[in-house]
Amino acid sequence: MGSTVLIFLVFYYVVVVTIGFWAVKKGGAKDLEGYLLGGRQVGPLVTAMTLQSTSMSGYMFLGGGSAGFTTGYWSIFYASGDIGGGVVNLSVIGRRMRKLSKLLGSLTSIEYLEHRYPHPATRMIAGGLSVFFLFFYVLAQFIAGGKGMALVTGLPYWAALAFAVGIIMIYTFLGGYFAVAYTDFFQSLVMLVGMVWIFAATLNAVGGFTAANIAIGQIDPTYLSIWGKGLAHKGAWPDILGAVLIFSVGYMGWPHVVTRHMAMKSPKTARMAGVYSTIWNLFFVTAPYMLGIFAIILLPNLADPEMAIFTLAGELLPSAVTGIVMAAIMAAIMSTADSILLQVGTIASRDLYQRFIHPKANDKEMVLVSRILILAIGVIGFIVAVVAPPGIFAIVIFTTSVLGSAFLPAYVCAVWWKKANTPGAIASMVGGALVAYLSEITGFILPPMVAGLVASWILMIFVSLATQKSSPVPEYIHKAMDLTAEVGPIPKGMLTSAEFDLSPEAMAVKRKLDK
Amino acid sequence: MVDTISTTAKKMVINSIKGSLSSNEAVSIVQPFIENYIPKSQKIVFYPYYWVFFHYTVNTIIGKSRIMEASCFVDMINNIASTTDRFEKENIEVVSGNILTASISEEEAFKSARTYLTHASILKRKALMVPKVQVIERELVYKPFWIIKCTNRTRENFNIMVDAVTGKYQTL
Repeated sequence: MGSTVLIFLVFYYVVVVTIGFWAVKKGGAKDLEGYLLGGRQVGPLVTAMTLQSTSMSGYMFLGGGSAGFTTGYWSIFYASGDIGGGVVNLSVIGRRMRKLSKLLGSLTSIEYLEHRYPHPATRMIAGGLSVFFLFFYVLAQFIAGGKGMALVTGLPYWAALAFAVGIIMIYTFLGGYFAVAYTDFFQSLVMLVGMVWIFAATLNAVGGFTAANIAIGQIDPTYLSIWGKGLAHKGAWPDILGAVLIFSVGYMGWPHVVTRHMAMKSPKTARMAGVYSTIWNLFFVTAPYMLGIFAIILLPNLADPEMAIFTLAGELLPSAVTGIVMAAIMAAIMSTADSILLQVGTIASRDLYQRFIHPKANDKEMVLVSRILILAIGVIGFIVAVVAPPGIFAIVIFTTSVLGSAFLPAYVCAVWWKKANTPGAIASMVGGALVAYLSEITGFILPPMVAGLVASWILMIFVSLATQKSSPVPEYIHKAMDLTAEVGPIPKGMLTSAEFDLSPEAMAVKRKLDK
Repeated sequence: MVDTISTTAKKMVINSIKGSLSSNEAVSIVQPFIENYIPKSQKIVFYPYYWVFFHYTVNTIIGKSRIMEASCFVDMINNIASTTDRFEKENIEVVSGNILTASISEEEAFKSARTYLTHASILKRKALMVPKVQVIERELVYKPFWIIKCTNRTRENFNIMVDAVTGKYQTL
């Protein structure tokens, strides 16, 4: 890409850093409330937009485009699950989990699992699985960052990767000032405009949907088939089920996504967030896949399918706009990478190190443990990404399959099934993850997501039922679950507008009134 | 109708957060949501929180941040920390039966506030840095809540708890 692109990329970062500098040194939020409750200052729509845009990652821009380019319309099955995924998650576990986690006093999603399924092994297994498999998700962001940086700067891939990983590390260890509402909002605006611009320019270049489909049909009609290119999945309904399930329910296994449920203010907030995210997803989740499909026509000689969207931007947008859009995409990748790294660091330090190795560890030690682990992930991730870089699409699908299989029944049953007990949850987590993993590496007849989920649900149900006598669910958990499910004679409007934050106080006051 | 929970008449002076809502105002907040229920009675209770006001700074790539403020509340019954807005305090005399008893010590609560500040600042700032913290104020305070009992024609009833400072509410 030309020097204009590079200049505008640098210009973009200067603007973002300036906003961050201003927010930290001079203006913006002075108190922690201001940081924690940025939404209160900028409004729910902007907050929702910021949240959605910061959840866009390297997968979206490289993986989604690559899937569309290589498989055609089959890839839309993944998008369709993703569109409704937010609403499914919020409906199934959102409200109840928010209330139960508050009642059990859980700060992290792993801690919540241990409180609901009380046994040290719960936290050890859940924490270990999360740390191990989230590594792969971070790896996907490293590769995306490296490839994007190589394209913009012209550096060789390994050097661009080192640069990208280095920036992500510094950003995670010492940054922080990017994460104010103002910079997030600015980045989300740029991404929104950029994505719409690339999509409009691409659609214009292919002559609209009809013309594009005719042209794709002339290249290879199987790109238009629901069975995928070359009819690779013909009649394979489990494959389709697996593709839809990945992002519709697989998200429920992501610790960083589940943590968001624990931060909702009220059911009304959850409902509005669901509406906003569905509207947002209708375009932004589908667009990368569609861009990949259109690239079949526009970039017939593209060597690396993962570069489909970057290359389209370079070919179709003015240089200045490309620079800014590329910078926004890089910012999205970095933002996702450091969020996951922080999540991994928190799980490792709080849920594993402090819980099992050094219970009296102070804040400094905990941060040190997080930093060491993150540094190790950076080094190992860099080596893997240089020596044998896997496909971004494949990594994300693999990780989501394993984590979804491991945790979905545990999270769902935690709030919906009183008989779900500790042995059931542990068997489900271990068995689900193992079956999904083995299914992936052996090429089992069922997709990993389907095989893993079937195994984890069966284990959760049968092991829980078989061990009811030896491992009954404690009474205080039954009571907390009753409270989360309680509707009674209370009007619906009152239930949806009540504040989750007051649930523990409400429980204590109720106890006093009952006395 | 306003009454008290306790039947005992013993009174004591507490350090309370100044409640800005009267019982009628609390009722008017929840009125639009209770449909065909009628608010029958209101009671006031005082909930124990440990309040810690911190000043803290964080070192970033661009140098040390200016001094930031954090006002944390720790629920002294459930030991759950959160942030809170600034508030006014007052010493008031209340019926002891209307006060909920704390179940953790002030030191435990203070530790929870410190841990929460670090956790929240790392997560929100998205950077692995321990904030340099200075404790400016810390004390036990009580927050007033209005308990509103709602009843309908078939004599079904439920209680709502309204935060007398913020107007937020939750069903009991």
